[in-house]
Amino acid sequence: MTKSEIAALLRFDLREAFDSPGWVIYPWLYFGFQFLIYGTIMSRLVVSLDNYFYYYGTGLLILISFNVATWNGRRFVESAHEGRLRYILSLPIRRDELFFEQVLLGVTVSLAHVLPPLVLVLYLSGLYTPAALISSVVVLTFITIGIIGLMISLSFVAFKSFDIYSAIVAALSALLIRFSTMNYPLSSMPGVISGVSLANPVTYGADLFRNAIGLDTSLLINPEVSIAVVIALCIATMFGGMFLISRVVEGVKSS
Amino acid sequence: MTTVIRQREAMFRVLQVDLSYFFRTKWLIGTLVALNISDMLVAGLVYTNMMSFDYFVFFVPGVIVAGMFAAALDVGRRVHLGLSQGVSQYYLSLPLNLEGLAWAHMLSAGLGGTIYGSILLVVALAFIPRLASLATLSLIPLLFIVSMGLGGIAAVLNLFSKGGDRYWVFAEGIQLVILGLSTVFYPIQVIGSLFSPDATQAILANPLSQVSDALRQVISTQSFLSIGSFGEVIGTSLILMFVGFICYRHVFAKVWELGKL
Repeated sequence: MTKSEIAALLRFDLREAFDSPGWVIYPWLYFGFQFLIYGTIMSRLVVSLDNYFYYYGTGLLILISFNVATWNGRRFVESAHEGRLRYILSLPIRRDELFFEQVLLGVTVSLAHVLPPLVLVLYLSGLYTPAALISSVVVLTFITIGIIGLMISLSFVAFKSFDIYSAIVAALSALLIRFSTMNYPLSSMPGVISGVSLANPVTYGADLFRNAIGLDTSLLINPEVSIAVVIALCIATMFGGMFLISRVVEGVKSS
Repeated sequence: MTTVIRQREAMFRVLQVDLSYFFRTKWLIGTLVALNISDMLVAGLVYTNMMSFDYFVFFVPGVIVAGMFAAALDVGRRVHLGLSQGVSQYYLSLPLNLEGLAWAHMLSAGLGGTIYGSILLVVALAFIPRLASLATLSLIPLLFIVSMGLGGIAAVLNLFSKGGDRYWVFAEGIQLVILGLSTVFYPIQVIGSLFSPDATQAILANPLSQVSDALRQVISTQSFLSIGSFGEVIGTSLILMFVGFICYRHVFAKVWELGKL
């Protein structure tokens, strides 16, 4: 398959993804409500952090990227269920290219969902600089790629049972979110929870993202360690995804 | 007389099917309960370290109520799937009138919310032993009435989404707003400092606020809910139930006439 054919497939998927204006606007409304209502109220209750409002806002941005990655994995599985995947596999397309196209789709949708809220957070916090915007977008993109790779890799479970896939994704997402610094810093976690969180790559992604923005840097994990973990996550899940897709995707239909 | 008995039997069958869908997959329920427990133990404990009061004790009733809300709304999700997959059309071919079908779904929302909320309540007893009292037990019927009211919200969503994919966005959005504008996760004093007195009153009238505050009252004072507060919760839930019943009836009437929504 040539580059233009991958672009055509991507264009088709993007048209479908952005078909409904509600799908684009909803994450912005979700962010606005959570940030301005929940974030404001919780920041008045939190006494151990001066600017929990922005800490929470940045966590929400990672959550939105996370949700897009989960949506991407689920969509891939549903395309198998609906027979669309079998049609795509009948085209002269390499499996790694199909995987690459899915990742590009997820990254594009994630950026569309995250960019306006990110600019809002940067603007309100007074931390906006072009460098902060670019570096935070790069970090968010890497986090999204890592999680998309993970979610698509898990699709082999769905080819056995969609219910089990849904449960695993729900449980894994909840655990990755709760046992991470997405919503609270490592310093506030009791010993056991911080131990588990340190083994969670999302913790490093969240802290790296805040480092890129320049928020609460004293509370964050060393950025060099975070960069290494986030890149390792991306490489591992990308290769894992490509390997699994090339082996398990042939002739499947989700049950 | 025979028709009435048939109606009741058919209504009971629909109720049974609704409930069995929710509780059939035991490991799925186990996963959901485990997630709620992780919410209590992780988010609750971490936020306690970040706040000047025992947020864990405040948060646990909130998690119970949020779980009950999700379970009550789940019936609406199945009705939505039923509308698109022809299950509702099949139900309407049974000896069951529109009111009976609407009531069956409302009742299953009530029972689903109560059973799931009670499971979480039993789990919470391990962390907050003060919840083990007759006053807590007296709140179970209240959970049932409130869950039925919350099931009414799902009916409204089904009406406005017209059985389309918009249901999922509406359901998530409404869940976010109703939970966010309640005292499920934060005390009313802080809400009062942010919103106008009228808005604060509306947030207090939210059935989710009322049930979580009732559970907190049991934890702090071990006292029974006053008749007045009981009446308030039932009053708000009855309004939601009534609206939900009308919406479901309207939805099923449309399906009866046109074969689809």
